Amino acid sequence: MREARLYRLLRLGTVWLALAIGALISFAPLLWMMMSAFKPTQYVLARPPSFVSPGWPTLENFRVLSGQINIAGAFANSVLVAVATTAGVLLVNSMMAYALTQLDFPGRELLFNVILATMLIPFYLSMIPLFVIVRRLGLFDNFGGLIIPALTSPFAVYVIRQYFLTHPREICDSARVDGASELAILFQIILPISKPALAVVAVTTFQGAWNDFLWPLIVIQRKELWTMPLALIQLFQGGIGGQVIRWGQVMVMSALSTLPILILFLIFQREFVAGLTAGALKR
Amino acid sequence: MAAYAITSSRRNLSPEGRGRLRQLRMRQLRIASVFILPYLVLFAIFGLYPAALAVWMSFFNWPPLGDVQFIGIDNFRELLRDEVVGKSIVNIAYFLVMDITGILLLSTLIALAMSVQLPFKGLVRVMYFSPAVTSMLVVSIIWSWIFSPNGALNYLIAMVGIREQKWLLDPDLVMPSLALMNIWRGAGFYAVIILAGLQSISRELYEAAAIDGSSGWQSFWKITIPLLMPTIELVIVLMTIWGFLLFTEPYVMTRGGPLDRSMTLAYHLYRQSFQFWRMGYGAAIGIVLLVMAFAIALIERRVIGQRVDF
Repeated sequence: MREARLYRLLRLGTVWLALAIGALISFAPLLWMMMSAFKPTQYVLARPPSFVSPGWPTLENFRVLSGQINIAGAFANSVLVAVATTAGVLLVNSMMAYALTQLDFPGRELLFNVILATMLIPFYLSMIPLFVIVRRLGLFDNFGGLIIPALTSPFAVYVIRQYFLTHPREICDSARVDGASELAILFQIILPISKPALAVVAVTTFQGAWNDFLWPLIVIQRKELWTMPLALIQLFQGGIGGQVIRWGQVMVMSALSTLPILILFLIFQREFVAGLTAGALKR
Repeated sequence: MAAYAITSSRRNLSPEGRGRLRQLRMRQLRIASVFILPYLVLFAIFGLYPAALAVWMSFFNWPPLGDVQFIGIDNFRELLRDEVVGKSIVNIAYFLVMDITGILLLSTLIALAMSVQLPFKGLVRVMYFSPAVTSMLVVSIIWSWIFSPNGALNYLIAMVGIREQKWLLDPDLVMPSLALMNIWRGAGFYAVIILAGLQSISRELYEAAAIDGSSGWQSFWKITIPLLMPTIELVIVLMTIWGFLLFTEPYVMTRGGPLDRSMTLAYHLYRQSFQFWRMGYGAAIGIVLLVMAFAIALIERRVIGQRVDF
């Protein structure tokens, strides 16, 4: 009896150990990046690789970097774009989801299926014409060009619609009987009770907008409007302050770009996982 | 509201009943339009129109100087002869084989491990998921170092006595390296998806099998794997579609080299459009991507559609 128990404990222990090792492997590169931000630049690429170095920790990289780039500015730009995009996405797509669930109109189901089908259109196909259109609309080289094209999201419609479907019809019907307008019903009744779905969409949209780099690369030209990824790629490709990559500064920028999302992830773990897997499990 | 009940018995209505029905539907549409218009307008401008324009553009030559000329299907003829396109597709296929195998193996193992009762689940999950929430740009930068001559990988393999490799600079190793990086990034993420699939398998099946005398291994092969198939197929489809869209890694880390061995369709598109300013040709490449996405989705529907039959 005791042997069986010991055997089980051993098996459990091995599983736990393997799992822990895998977790460390997953996290180690990110940890290295964050620790390297505080190493003097010449030690970042040192061999053998290590998490600390002589002169650790130091804020030297941060100091030099802030002389070359307006870090706070880029950070603020990223925050602005991410927040505005998230707010806009919540608004536009919850309105569509409301129409798709609580209102009745001809072609309703067809519209939903068409919306889902549009998820197949790869961004790269529309990228060039979108560039042309954005220029023509005067949205080039400003945040409008980043935010406005990103507002429609079949994923958001899907997630929010799923949640709206779980609300009994009586809620809306009794409000209608009381004379409330549909808009009022959406904003004052339905949305407040749909917070879980909205949180999932918010967190996923925020992460996407924060990390987005290709489209901002195409749309933004002025240095003042750089978001974190743009500043980072300029640094990494040696565009600022000479030809040589100053790895210390690259690490600082990488860390600053990553930390907000990691912190957000720690707080909203469940929403992140639900959002990222719902996109996959929607079938 | 009684109004909604009318719509189902359209056939039995008198002419004036039908008129009233039409009025009702118009009214429904009017109310709904407030809600669907923002989305539709935005989508028409920034979703539909660009896609249609892309198809249109692919039939033209859009030089940086001079006029736009209509050239019919010349862009597509060039596509068929373009070596880079062929190489890109081969690269992507090669990448996908390694990527999918690696991720399926690892994430299934991880998911199985996670399904056991363990302490610190939350922390472990955060660590496994963290690569997936980090931006691809940052991941590419970190791995540029890991793959560098003095980087972590060469250091680690030296410890087990393997010679230093050139990784991203080696034409034969560049795609496997990118696949490795992707496996690292995706294993934890897909593990959570597979875990959800695992947990949806009813315990009773296992219990019934145990009563019938099935061993752990047998249960695994006869119950777990078959019922996990839809999830696994889903993972494969997702990875395939994302694989075709591979862009950041070649852009940041390899510029498609060495010798075009890490070239992908998306990067080729970008380069043709924004470096060589051949936007018509770039649009044609984009259409190839669209066609492939549709093809994969169709194949997937057929394959998964057959499995879900219990």
